[in-house]
Amino acid sequence: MPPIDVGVGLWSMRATAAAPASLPVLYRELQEDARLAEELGLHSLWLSEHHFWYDGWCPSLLVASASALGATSTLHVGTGVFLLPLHEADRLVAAGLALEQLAPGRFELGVGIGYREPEIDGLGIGRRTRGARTEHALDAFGSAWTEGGPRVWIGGIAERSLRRAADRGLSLFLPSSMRLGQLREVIERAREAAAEAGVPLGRIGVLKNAWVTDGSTAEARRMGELIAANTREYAGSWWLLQGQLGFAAPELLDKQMERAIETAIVGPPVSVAESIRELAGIGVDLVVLHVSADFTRPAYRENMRTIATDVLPLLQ
Amino acid sequence: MRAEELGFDLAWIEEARALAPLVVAAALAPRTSGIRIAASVGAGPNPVTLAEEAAVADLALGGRLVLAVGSGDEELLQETVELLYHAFAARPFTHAGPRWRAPARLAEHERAEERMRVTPPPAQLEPTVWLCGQAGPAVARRSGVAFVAGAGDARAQWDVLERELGLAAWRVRRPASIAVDVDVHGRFDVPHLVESLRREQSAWGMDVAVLELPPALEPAARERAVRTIAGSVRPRVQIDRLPAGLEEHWNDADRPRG
Repeated sequence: MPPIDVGVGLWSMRATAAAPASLPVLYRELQEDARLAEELGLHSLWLSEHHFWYDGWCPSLLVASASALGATSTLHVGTGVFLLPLHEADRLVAAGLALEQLAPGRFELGVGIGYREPEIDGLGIGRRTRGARTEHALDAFGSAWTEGGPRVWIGGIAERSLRRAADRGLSLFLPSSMRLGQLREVIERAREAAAEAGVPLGRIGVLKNAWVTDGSTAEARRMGELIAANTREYAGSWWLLQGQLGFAAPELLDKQMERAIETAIVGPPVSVAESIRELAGIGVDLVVLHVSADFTRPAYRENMRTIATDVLPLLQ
Repeated sequence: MRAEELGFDLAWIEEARALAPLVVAAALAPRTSGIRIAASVGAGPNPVTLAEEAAVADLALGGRLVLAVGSGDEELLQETVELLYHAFAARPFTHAGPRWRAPARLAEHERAEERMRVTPPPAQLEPTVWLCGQAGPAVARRSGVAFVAGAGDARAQWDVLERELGLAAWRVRRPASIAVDVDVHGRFDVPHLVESLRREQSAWGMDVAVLELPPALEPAARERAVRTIAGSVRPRVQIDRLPAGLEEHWNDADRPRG
């Protein structure tokens, strides 16, 4: 089996309706969870970004990442994903250099372009400028981080995203809810684009909804329902499904939920390890197991332990 | 963190000396538990972004952040402060100023909101913001926010602030930035520094002294300087009058024992 790193995600410090929490406590827990992930020998801990949401969803991942990096000494900390066009490139360059000084080689900058209009508009950015702003930022990194800077992972599967990664020799951060066949196809296209560009492709990471169960159907079903319900909350509010916001198109929303459950890695250690091996087999070299969410508090820590003690050894 | 071990109240991180002060401040969060961290940035960036970063840094620090914003441009600093405070206030707002509109409500956006709320809120209920640079005092006068004084003109500026704000002028801290002339071995004139600090305290009520050390000090010299400040300078400026004989007693054994 080709080597594959196993990280955990996604930390967003959200105090949701389903799982209320104290925000300062969530930020303290981020530091504690980073220490735990490091103790357990996991490769990385990943955060996610949104703006102006009711639950306090973390809008400043570089600042939050710094606190996780400050709490640890070997753990990698990554952004899955940092919304690149919503930030200014020069400040991002400076922040990347600061993080590289603070924690050399440990910060992973996964980037996306964002899609939620109130966030984009709230920051005064025109949605049509996102592509150009993304290109500008990637160019800025390329010239400023020649002596060293964070690894950059391009999120998304659109042709444009794959080209951006391939042309610059960047890494890929593929989204959750993709079937194995789709992943294989996207990886193939990215490799072709990189070959055309004459530049070696970077790493290939994938985010996966995941949970290690006791093997019972009951627990698998329970977790599937939780994953679906969780995705439903923000997909219903934010995702445009054939032109309508999710909640206004319940049948389409249900299909999204079915796909989320179907593509999740949920099962006992043996089957979780098998799914990870399958991913390694198609060229994925980092899997981020999305076990940490508002709705899995506090049980996700036990799941992190189980991954470390019962799943990782099966991958040797 | 050494500054915390030595009992300093605040550590100052600024853009001229460190990249991305708010990022550096958050990195110090897990390594500290009492000291406040001041992150000093120039005005110019979108204040909504600054507010978000400061809120997250303050949450990481458990309420120990001071955000210092500086500019020589009064209009820029004024609008930055306005938008920062809207953003920190944990309630929906609309802002339309000379530089920024938040939400922007650009024509190309079909789903823009009329009002926005910046989340998460900072840990502090009343976030600490200090103004720096040439425009600091003028904007401070209008907004009831503290400014960080430099050498010389603090008394006159605080007199004006007191006249304009009345009792509100006493609601905020009175910080000053003071350069300490430390030699390559980490030594400096202790009585002279103590005297300067006492003078600023009594002239205009300075209550936070941010002591600036030369940037190129060798680690051993820096350690000597900060230990001397912690053990010999700081105790001498904590109360109005020291009992007779106490300073002589300290002179005999005035290094921290830790």
